[in-house]
Amino acid sequence: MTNFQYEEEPVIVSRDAGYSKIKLLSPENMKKSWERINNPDIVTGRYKLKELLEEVGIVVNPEAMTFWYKHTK
Amino acid sequence: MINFKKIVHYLHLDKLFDSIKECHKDNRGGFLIPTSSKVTDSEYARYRHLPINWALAPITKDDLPDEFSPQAVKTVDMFRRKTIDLSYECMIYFDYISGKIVACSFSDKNSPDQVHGVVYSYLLKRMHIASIHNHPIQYCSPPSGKNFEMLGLEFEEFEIISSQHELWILESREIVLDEDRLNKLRKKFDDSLNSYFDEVMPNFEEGYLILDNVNEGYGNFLLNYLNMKCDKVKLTKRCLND
Repeated sequence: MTNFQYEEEPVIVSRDAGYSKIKLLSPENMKKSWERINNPDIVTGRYKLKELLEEVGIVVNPEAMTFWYKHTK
Repeated sequence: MINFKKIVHYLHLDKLFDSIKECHKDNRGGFLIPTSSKVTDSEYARYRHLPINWALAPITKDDLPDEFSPQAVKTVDMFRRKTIDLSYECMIYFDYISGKIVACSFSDKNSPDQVHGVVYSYLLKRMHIASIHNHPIQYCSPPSGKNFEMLGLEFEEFEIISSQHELWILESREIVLDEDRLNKLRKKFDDSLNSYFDEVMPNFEEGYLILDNVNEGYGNFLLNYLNMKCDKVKLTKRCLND
């Protein structure tokens, strides 16, 4: 009887569940965040976002950026 | 008077009878069922037996891309109803024209934030493939930097993320990025998440306020950044009313 075999290797696909809320709010992550904020050599927060958005042609004024969203859910 | 042969002919059964006769004559080998093209494994059985949450508002055609058939809309709707209350991840691949599920996987107990599946891409060549996976309640709604593997896959055209209140739909019909460029993009997304976190965290004491604002800010960043960065990629977010 013919031995049927796949001609191509199967593709292993992976999906991520997203950022873990528990890990984000963990004391370790909070500590890392404070270290980034207090380190003058690291660009973070609104200034890093300005840099990233400039890469795709979006110009923003970092001083005018707001980070408060009213949530209904 | 109509005889039996004529009835058989009118009902086009003669060809069927002929094919059965031919089949009986065929002694070339065993009866082969292409099981690889069917989803009959234990993962699919597990998916089929997941309880359905009927309290959710239905997903309609308006929530999904125009290419999705009514059957595919039903597949997405049922996936959301089955996975909305799960604390672990589930992923299915389906044909967005026929709505048929072609692959199904669940996350491992040891790594609940990652789901892996095996896909034989050459079996899907004539199909229109989309995938959907859930983000359980203990995870943020927008796709993380680890996501976006689809941008390096040829056979997959849509990737849907079903979170608690939103659907994220990533569309790309060809290989857009190689692994190296994909990793650079992932790093940017991680940087942007950290940047939002660093801005929001010192201002809010309550954890849920931090998460709400990071979720919203980072999600908006993704929509702007990805749609401006890659011409052949489209990311959309649909808010669902439950």
